[in-house]
Amino acid sequence: MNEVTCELCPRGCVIPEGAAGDCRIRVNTGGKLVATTYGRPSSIQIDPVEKKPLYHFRPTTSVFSVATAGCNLHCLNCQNWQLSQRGGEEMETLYHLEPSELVASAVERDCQAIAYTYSDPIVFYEYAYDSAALAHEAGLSNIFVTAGYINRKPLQQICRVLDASNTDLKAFDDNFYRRINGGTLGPVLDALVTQREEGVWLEVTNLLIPTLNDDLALVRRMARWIERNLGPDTPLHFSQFTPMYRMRNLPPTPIPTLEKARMEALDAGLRYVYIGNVFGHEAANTYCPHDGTLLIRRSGFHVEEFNLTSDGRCPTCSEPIAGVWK
Amino acid sequence: MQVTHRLRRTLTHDWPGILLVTATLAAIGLYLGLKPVSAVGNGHRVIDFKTVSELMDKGDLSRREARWYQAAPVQENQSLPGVSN
Repeated sequence: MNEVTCELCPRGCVIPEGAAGDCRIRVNTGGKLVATTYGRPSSIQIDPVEKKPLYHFRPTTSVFSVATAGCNLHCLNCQNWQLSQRGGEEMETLYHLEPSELVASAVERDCQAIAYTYSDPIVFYEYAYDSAALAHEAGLSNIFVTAGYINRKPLQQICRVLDASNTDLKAFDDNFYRRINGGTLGPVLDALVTQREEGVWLEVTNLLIPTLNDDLALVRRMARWIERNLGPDTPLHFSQFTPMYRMRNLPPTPIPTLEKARMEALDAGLRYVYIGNVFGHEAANTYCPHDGTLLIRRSGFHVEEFNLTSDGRCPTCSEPIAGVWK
Repeated sequence: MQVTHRLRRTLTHDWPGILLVTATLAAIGLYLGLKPVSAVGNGHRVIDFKTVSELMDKGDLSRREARWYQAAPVQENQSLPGVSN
């Protein structure tokens, strides 16, 4: 009686009255599906845009970053598990921040963008969508930081109010998605292509986990897929794994592994490939794909040198550098 | 042989204690298995709906209707139409 079927993500949860979807926060009350964390974020922070990571979208932008509880994936190594693997009723902190208040807060703090992040904005879709629409009216950009496990139609709709996205491609391996993340690969690939088609500026992150997805042949297949389906100008970030949550038995990713993966991706034709979250590594910088000129030098999330011309070109060879620079 | 003898002697004399420990462990296992705080089944999660409702009534959680869902297909003997967002 009074069951509902959620159509937001590929899980397609059939939810009896008084129960929640797998994400924990979409609840069936009397036959109506309710987004219980709408306007009730549990995490609010101001980050540099480079932290998302977005390296080719409005560098040095301050981003008002927000998230609610819940997630529709269950990654064993989730670094935000205390937020993502809980329902709203389990959170110690629930801010009251309606979309208009969220946008006003971002403007008050001189942020140029709002990021829907930390857990996964897919599960707080309505809150993200309504806030993003108001943010555009206020002249702010909208950024999604997501695992991309969403159905195509809702994604197409929300892309209309998004400007940039960092989407995880956790492994080019469906078995990995099933075992480690509790999802499947196909919808994520579809979501990447959809965002590209809808004109959202897209950067991809791959977290390399020793023994699980660090095989170079797998990295090569992934890089070739990105090059063919998203384009060679799509920035790819390799991240170093650190033991976390339910995956504390594996070591951190060795830096040579990250470097080899980066070389594979560059050999596959991708023009901008980074090693993130390794402080001081030269692969955190942006180089001209044509003549190797250092274009942007970063130290952690801080931009120390920005050498592009005002129209986003290499200062030495005038090669156009893909990105949203203003 | 000495080990077997000691084991048989332990089981003979200490069986009430062993039975009690076994029964306690079984009860704990049954409890954890039947009543999790948040259990998954058929694509949904069992939640503490009473607490969620109270928080919604207080305003700490929202009653905002979600998008992208449908009511379950209407059965022949039901009069309510399906709702599609």
